[in-house]
Amino acid sequence: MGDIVNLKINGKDYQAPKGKLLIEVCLENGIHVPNFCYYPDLTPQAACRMCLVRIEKMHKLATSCTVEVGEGMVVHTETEELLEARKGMLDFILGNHPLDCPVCDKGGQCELQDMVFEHGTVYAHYNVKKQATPEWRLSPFIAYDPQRCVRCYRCIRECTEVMDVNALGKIFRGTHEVIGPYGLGMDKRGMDKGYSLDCEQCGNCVEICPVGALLSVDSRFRSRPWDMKETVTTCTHCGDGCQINLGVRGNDYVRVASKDMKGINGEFLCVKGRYGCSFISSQERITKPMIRRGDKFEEVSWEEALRFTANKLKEISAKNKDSVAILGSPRLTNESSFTLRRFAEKGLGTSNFGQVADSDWDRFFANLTAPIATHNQVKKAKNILMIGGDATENHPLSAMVIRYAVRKHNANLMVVNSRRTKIARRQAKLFLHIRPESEAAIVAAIFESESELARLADLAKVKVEQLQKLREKVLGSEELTIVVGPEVQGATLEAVAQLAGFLNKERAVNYLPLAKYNNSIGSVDMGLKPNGHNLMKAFGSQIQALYLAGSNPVEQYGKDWENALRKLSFLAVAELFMTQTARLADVVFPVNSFAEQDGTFTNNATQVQRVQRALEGAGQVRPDWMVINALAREMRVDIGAKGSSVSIFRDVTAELASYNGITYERIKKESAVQTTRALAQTKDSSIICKDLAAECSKINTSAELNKTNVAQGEGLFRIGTMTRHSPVMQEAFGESKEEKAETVNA
Amino acid sequence: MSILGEVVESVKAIVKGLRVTLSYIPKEKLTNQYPDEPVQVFSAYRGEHYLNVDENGKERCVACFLCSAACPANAIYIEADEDLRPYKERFTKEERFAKVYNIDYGKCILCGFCVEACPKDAIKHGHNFEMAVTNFADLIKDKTYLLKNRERESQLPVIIIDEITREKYAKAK
Ligand code: SF4
Ligand code: SF4
Ligand code: SF4
Ligand code: SF4
Ligand code: SF4
Ligand code: FES
Repeated sequence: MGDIVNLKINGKDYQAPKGKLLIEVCLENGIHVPNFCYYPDLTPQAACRMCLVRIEKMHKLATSCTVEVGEGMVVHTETEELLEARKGMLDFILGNHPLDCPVCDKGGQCELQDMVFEHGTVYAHYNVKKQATPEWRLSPFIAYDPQRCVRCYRCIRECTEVMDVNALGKIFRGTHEVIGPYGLGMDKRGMDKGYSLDCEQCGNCVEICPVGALLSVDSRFRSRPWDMKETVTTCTHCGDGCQINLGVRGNDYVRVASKDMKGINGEFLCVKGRYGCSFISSQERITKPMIRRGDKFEEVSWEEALRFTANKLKEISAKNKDSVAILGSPRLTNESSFTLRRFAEKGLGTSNFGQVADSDWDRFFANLTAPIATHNQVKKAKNILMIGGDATENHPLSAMVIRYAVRKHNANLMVVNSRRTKIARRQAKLFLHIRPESEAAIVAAIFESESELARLADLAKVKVEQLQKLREKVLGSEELTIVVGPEVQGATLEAVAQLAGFLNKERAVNYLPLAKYNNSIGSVDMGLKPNGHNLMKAFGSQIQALYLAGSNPVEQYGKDWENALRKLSFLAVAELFMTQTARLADVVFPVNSFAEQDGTFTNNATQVQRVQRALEGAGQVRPDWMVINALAREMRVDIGAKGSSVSIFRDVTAELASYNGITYERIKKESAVQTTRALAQTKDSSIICKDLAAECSKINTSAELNKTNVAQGEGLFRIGTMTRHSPVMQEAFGESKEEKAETVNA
Repeated sequence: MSILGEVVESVKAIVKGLRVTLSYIPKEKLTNQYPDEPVQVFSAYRGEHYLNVDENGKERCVACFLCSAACPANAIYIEADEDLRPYKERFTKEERFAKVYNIDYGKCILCGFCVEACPKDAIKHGHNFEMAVTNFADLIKDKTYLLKNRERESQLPVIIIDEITREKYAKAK
């Protein structure tokens, strides 16, 4: 690699790196080569033979998807002979194709349709009777129509290589060959009865299927590609912030797709992103402001709800400004979080504001000593140290890029986790299975002198040799990507952030924090500290009134929160649904979902990405920032309110150094713009060691190792405030099933 | 010019002017006394549409959206659904069918593109031209109406001229 070769394609000279696939060189240079089975980053298959080209001095036509370019190659891609050959291949494919484009959901964006269109009249040498096969529901999300399948095996390779799930395989032989779930054996009856696809249900196989053989059940027959409006926006389900194509017909959700997207995720999405967004069109959305009258809620006008709230807040804050608290959430847009903070600081003058979240990312960024890695950079990482976090279940895109690094160039992945996560079981070169909540001991082992290893290994209940190996690898690696999970908190997290500085500046170290929610990092940047749990303790005493936006702590954190919220004399909640928390409120404001407003999210790679309005909110919903602005106006306080998300974002960039120079236009051009973080001073390692020692002393040394494997879907299939209202998610993983799955901290 | 001369000139001019009219007086009459008499329309006349059914009376439309894509006036609105019952029990030819099928005759220009586009022979032009309504909303015709339209074809106050009559007509002219 590294060498450049010269070759001639269709009489023109090109240069390309040696060893690159011919089809990739052609496609990159705008030379069209038809293909089915070729797909970027998947292993070559050469199954469809549509990509045939003539290479001079080769005695047969060659499949360009398997040929690597070489010096002096002379290639033809558009000759009569090739057209004939490709037509012949299409004839094979169409031999048993049902030609039911009118009923096929892929119609209008089908690669086979395009191919036939491109090649003109295709022969029909095979007039044998077609084998009609019924469609199979493989899972609540995915259907398979064997007759439409062109046997390109993209789906199998996607599932095996990209997803590492291995759910799909070839079943039967010859003309009877179908794609189906592994483990099905030869029991043909099992296929049409019940669901049989036991996998992550990511739908990526559906996405890359060139024809309508694999289909999404949730968007079945809903629309046609030309008939819906597709908006590129950011997923709201986790911190990775995948770019999604949200298809809307009229004002109704149709589907989420990702194909041909230039976003950070390419075609990748997970089950929540792809199938969990239909909650936006749920009938259960609240559409009007409500005020509590006794036990019941009464729908009122915005004016009345705002006046009522404004009066209450004024009344309570008149005695003591700090008795009013404002809590945001890691789900709100940057614009809304920013407005919330301004309202708290400028409007109410309270010092009690923040967000309901259990993470310490503010402390992480305050101690950060190396830049944050983007997902694309992680793909190229050589050494990855992963402390805590279950990326497969909670940060599917991060998991995918880590798997990519391991798959493509055998990256050295070291995992430290108290659970047997999938990535630890299957990708890790070194897995330190530690005692619950003993990450501090492992981090300390890197900072401390070697003599401490035995004691620390004992604390974390790992073998000394293993810890020794980890320490050597970390201290010795030239390049290192440190992935840190959300359960790493407090002084341990600070120490992890300091690790790069400790390791010496010369080395290329970068971080990927696995922040849980879509805007965990953005909301912290906007100044909402994750201090909700502390403030909660003062409810009913120092704090009498609370404005809570976008959080459902009663469901997430249980009884404690419910009791605390009941102690308040006034509670206003801004929500999408009538959640358990909203039911306790005195006033409920209906707000826009992510799909109904403009704004930005900052993902876990600190990239700012756009949230775009894909449809109109039903009823009288408003964005969170607009509610706050109106409330401030009603209270007659000036918070410097701006009337659009663009102008609020301008304020954000003016105020926050790390957001400087980011504009909506720039995000539109670059899709994701990474913020630039000021790096912290490297602290003296003795201070860090002391902090870590304090953390280590908290480790419960009687705790046993958690030996059970993390089950597939533990995080992915968890039903939450939003996914509960997505019909297909509810059908598949609904409440009754949820009880079976052991609930981890939400 | 004398008075007589003027009279002669005028009569000449009138006769000349009425020549075409007068030549038609002895010929066969083509005017219809609509609405007292039925109107004659060609078989290919593009009147109000009807939705077709197959030989067992099952709806042919599979809600493929092609007609609405072809429509230059954006007059067709469709919502698709599926009916997984066996052929015998369901009302439709295929599992996929149109749950909603509306044509807005306030927009439709009766161009026939939809009929041309339909891969299932499901939408056809009927011969009804009496489409005036007294209310805008009534211009939107739904699926039930369009399906009924097929049966109404035989009761229309029109005489459909087939190809043979048409040729005769051309010759007579
Ligand atoms: S949905 Fe995802 S995990 Fe399931 S078979 Fe398809 S690619 Fe594999
Ligand atoms: S199901 Fe789709 S992706 Fe899989 S082999 Fe068939 S055509 Fe290819
Ligand atoms: S990985 Fe995260 S951001 Fe991407 S689709 Fe899934 S939930 Fe959404
Ligand atoms: S006749 Fe023309 S204008 Fe009328 S519905 Fe059909 S395509 Fe549209
Ligand atoms: S009438 Fe024809 S073209 Fe229109 S949706 Fe039905 S089947 Fe498709
Ligand atoms: S793309 Fe090369 S054989 Fe299929």
